[in-house]
Amino acid sequence: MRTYQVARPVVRWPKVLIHICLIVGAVLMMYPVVWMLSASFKPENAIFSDPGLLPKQFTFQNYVSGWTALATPLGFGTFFWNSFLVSVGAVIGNVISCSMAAYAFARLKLKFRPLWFAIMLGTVMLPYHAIVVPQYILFKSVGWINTFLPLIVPKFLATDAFFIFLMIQFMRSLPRELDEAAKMDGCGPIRLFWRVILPLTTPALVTTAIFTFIWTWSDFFSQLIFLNTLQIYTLPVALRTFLDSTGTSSYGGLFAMSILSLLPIFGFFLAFQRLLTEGISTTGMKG
Amino acid sequence: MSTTQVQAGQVGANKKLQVEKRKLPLGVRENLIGYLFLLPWFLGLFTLTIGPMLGSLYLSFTRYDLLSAPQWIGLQNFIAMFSDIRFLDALRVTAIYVVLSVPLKLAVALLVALALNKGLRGLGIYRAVYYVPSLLGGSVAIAILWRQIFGQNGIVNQGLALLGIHGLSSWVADPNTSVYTLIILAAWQFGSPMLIFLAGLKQIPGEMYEAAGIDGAGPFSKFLQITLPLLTPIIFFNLVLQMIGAFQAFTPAFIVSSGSGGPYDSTLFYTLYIYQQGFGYFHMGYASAMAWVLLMIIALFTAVAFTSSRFWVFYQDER
Amino acid sequence: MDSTLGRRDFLKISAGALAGIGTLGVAGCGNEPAARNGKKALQFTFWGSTTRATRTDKAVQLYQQLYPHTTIGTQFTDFNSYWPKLATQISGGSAPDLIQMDMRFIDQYQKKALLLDLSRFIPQPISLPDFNQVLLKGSEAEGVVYGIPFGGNFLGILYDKNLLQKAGVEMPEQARDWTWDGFAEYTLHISKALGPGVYGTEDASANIWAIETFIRQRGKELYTSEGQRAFNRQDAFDWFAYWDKLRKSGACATPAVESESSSTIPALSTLAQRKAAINFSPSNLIQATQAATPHNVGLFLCPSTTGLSDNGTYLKASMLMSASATTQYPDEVAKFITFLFTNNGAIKALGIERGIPGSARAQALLKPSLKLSDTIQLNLVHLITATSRPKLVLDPPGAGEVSDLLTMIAQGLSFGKLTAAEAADTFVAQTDQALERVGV
Repeated sequence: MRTYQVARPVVRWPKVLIHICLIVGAVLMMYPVVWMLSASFKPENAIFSDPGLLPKQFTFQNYVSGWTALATPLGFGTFFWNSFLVSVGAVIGNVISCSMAAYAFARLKLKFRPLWFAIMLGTVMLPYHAIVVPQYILFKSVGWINTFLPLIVPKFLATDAFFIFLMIQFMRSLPRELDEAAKMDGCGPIRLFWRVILPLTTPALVTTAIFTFIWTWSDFFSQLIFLNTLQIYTLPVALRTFLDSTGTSSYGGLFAMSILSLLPIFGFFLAFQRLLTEGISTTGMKG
Repeated sequence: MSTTQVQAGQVGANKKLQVEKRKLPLGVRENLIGYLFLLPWFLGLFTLTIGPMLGSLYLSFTRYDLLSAPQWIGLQNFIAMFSDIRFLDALRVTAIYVVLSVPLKLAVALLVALALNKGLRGLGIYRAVYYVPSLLGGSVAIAILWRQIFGQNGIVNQGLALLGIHGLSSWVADPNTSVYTLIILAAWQFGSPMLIFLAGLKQIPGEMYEAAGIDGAGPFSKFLQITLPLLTPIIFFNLVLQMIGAFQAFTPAFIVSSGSGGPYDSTLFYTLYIYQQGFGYFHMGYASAMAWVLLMIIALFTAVAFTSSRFWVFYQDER
Repeated sequence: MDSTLGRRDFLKISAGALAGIGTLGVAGCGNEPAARNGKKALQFTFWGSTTRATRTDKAVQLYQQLYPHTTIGTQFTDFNSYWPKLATQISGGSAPDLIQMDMRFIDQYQKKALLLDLSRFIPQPISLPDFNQVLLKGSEAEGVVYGIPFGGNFLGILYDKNLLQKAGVEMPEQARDWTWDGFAEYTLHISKALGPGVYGTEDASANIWAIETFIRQRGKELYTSEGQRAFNRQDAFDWFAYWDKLRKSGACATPAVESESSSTIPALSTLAQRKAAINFSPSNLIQATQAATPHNVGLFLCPSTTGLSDNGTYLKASMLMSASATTQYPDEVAKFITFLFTNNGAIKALGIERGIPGSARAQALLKPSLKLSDTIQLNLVHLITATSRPKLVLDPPGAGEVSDLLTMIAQGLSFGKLTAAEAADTFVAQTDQALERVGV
C-alpha cells in the first residue's frame, strides 16, 4: 500500500493578510472616485477651496443644475439614452462578429490564414486619429453623418481586432479533443461553434461585452466627430460642454453628471461579471 | 436535411454519404465555412479599415490641411520629422512610458487576479472595486483628480509629509516627474488586463489542480507547473495588446496635461503629438506620416513578441 | 438534434441584429432640418459653455418667430474640440452655414476661400453705422470683411487691489514708472512685502499675446504679411532674459506655482488663487476672474518699453460671426447676421456673454446690465481705440504651433533646462520650421 506524503508548504499566507492588502489596495483604487463624489456635493466655489473629503457644505445643486444644463427634453437623460443605444449596439455587434472571426482564425481551415491574421493585427497598430478623417469622408458620402450608424455598424463588421485576438487566444486554449469528440457525434463546423466552442469561451464573450460597453460609453473623439446635433449627443460629448476654457466652467455640474454616468457602466459590469466566475469543466460537453 | 444518427459507428458513414450527395468536397466546404465566418470581418476590413488606412498612407506623402485638397510632397514629411525637436521629445517620452508602464501594469494585474482567484469571500466586491479606476477611463474628471492627488498639496505629498518628507512640489507639474505620474495612472487602471487574467484563470480546469494536489504538489509548484503554462496564451495576449496600447496611449496625457503635452513636453505622448499636428495645427499630412512611422515601430515590436512566443507560449490546441 | 436548428437560430439572431442596427441607427438620426417645401434650413456652429448655448438658442428662437420660413439648427461644443470638428466637417464637404470664428484661424480659412465675403452685404442689409471702426478694420483680411466681431478685447493686466494695498504700493494706474524696468521693481517690492508663496506677478513668459505686445512696442509685429517671422533673435532673447531675471529675483511666480495654475481657466489662475497680485490676461476675463476670488480685481494696460505712449496694445475681435463660402443661402445668412447685431431682442438675448458689443447703440442698450468691471473694460477699450496702433497683419496658419512652441520653451527655461540664449535660439529656429511646414 502506498502512502502519499502530502508536501506541506513552509510558508502559508494567512487569508487575513491577503484581505488587508486587498483592502488597502481598494482604498487606493477608490480614493479618486470618492473625491469626485464628495466634490459633486459641494457648492461650485467650494470645490477647489475645500479640500476635505467630507463637504463642509452639502448640496444637491450640482445634480439639479447639471441635469438641466442643456436644452434637451429629458434633461441629461437624453444623453444617457443615446449613450445606452450606441453602447448596446456596439456590444451586440462585437460579440457576434468578433466571435465569428475568431472561430475562423482559431479553428477553421483557412487558406492564407497567416496573412489575414497579420493584417488583422495590423489594423490595431495604426492610431485612430490617422484614419478618422478618411472614415468621415466615407461616411459622409453615404449620408451617415449625424446618426449613430458610424458608431455601431463597424462593430458588426469586426473592426475591433482587439476582441478577435482575445477570443482567438481563449479558443486556442481549448483542447482539440473536444472538437474531435463533437465531430464524432456528428457536429458540423457551425454547430461546433454554436454548441461547443461558444459556450466554453463564455469568459471571453463576457469580457468582450463588458469592455465594449465601457469603452463605447466613454469614447469621446469619434462621437464628437460623427455627431452634430445636441439631441443625439452622447454622454462624453455632452460632458465636455461643461468645461469651456473661453467662458465659465461649471465643475460642479461636471462632477455630478460624471458620477451619474459612472453608474450605468458600473451596473453593467456588476451584472455581467458574475458570468466570469463560472469555471469550465472539460468533461461537460453540451450537445 | 434529416436528423443525424448518434450511433458512433454509423455516423461516419452516414456523414460521408450525405457529404457526397452535396457537390462540394469536404476540404473546400470547410474552407468556405471558414471564409463565411470571416465574412463580416472582410466586409469591415475592406470598406472601413483598409480604405481609410490606405488613405492615410497616401496623405503621409502630402501636405493636407483638411480645408483644401492634398498636395503631393513626397518624402518631405518623413525628413522633417527628424529635425523636429518635439517629435524627438515625443519618441523619448513614449519609449519611457511603454518600457515602464507595461510590465508594471501586467505585474499588478496578474498579482491581483491571482489573489482574487483564491475564492475569497467578497470576491465580487473586490473585483468590482479594482475595476472602478478603469471605468473612469478618459473622463475629464480624471485630469482634475490626478492634479489634485499629485499636486503640491495633494494626498501623495500629505502622505509623504506624515513619513517626514516635507517641502515637495507638485509631481504633475514638474517636467522631471510628470511622466511617472502618468505611468502610475496607467498602472492604477489595471482593471482590464486583470479581468482578462481572471477569465483566463477561470478557464483552467479545477480538476488539474486536484490531480496535482493528489500527486503531492504544493501551491507554489501548482502555480509554476499548471497555472503559468496554461495562462501563457493570455499573458501573451495582454503583453502584446498592452504594449500596442501603450505606444498609442493618448487620453491620459491629453487630459492630465490639458492637451499640451507639458510641462516642457514631458508628457508629450506620440499620439498626442499626432493629434496636435493633425487636429491642432491642421498638418494632416505630417500627422499621417508620423502615424505610419508609429505603425512600423509597433509592427516591429509585435513581430519580435510573436517570434519569441514560440519559446514560451503553450497552446492547448496543438496536436 | 438538427444542425439546421443551429443555423436557423443563428440566422434568426442575425436578422434580429440587422433589424436592431437599423432601428438603432435610425433612432439616432439627428434633427438636422432638411429643406422641404420652400423652408430654408441653416446650420449655426459655435463654441462655448451651456450659458452661451442657452442665450444663443433664445436669439435663434426670436429669429425663427420673425421669419417662420427659416429654421436654424445649432451645434456647439467646447473651444478645443470645436476646431478639429469644424475642419473635419469641411473636409467632408458639410460646412455649417454660420460659423463662429476666432482671429487666430480666420486668415487660414479665408485663404482657402472658405468664408463668405460679407463686405458686399455691408451696409445693406448688415448696417453697422455706429460700430467700432477700429475693431471692424482689425478683423478684415486684405480689406475684405469675413466676420463681424461680437466684441473686442485686449491684453491687459488684472490686478488684485487687496494684495496691492497690503503690499503698500500704489495702484498700477497711479504708478510713476510703468515701463518693464519699473514693473520689475514694482513686482519685486510686492513679493517681498507679501511674504513667501505670494508673488508680485505671474510668470508671463509663455504667453504669446504678452510677447506680441512686447514686440509691438518695438514697432514690429510677430509675423509679416507673408506669414514669415518678423521678430529677431534679439527680441526673443530680451524677452526670455527679462523673465529669467524676474524669476531669479523672486518678483514673479515660480515654475511650481505656475504649473499648478491654469492660464486659460480664470478660476484656476494665480490671481484667483491669490498667489500672484498681477496677471496678464485678456480683458474680457475680468468678470470670470472676479467671480472666482473674494478680493477686488482691477484692469489696466500692460507695462511698456517707453511709458504709455506706445504700449503695443491693440484691440482684437474676441470672436466673430462668419459664414461659409459654400452656403446655399447667402442672403438668409446675411439677414440672420444683421438680426444678431441690430435687433434689440437679439442683442439682449446674447448680452455681453460673447464680449461687449462693438456697436454704440448696443452698448447703450446693455448698459443697465453692465457691472463695474465691464464699465472699466469699456472705458479702456475706448482709450485703446483712440490711442493705439492697430494690428493689421492677421495671424498666419502656423501661429497656433508657434504659440505652443513658446509655451514649451518658456517652461523649459523656467525649469532650468535651457538658458535664455538657448531658449531664444530654439524659439527662432522652431518658429521658422513651423511656419515653413505650412507652406502656401
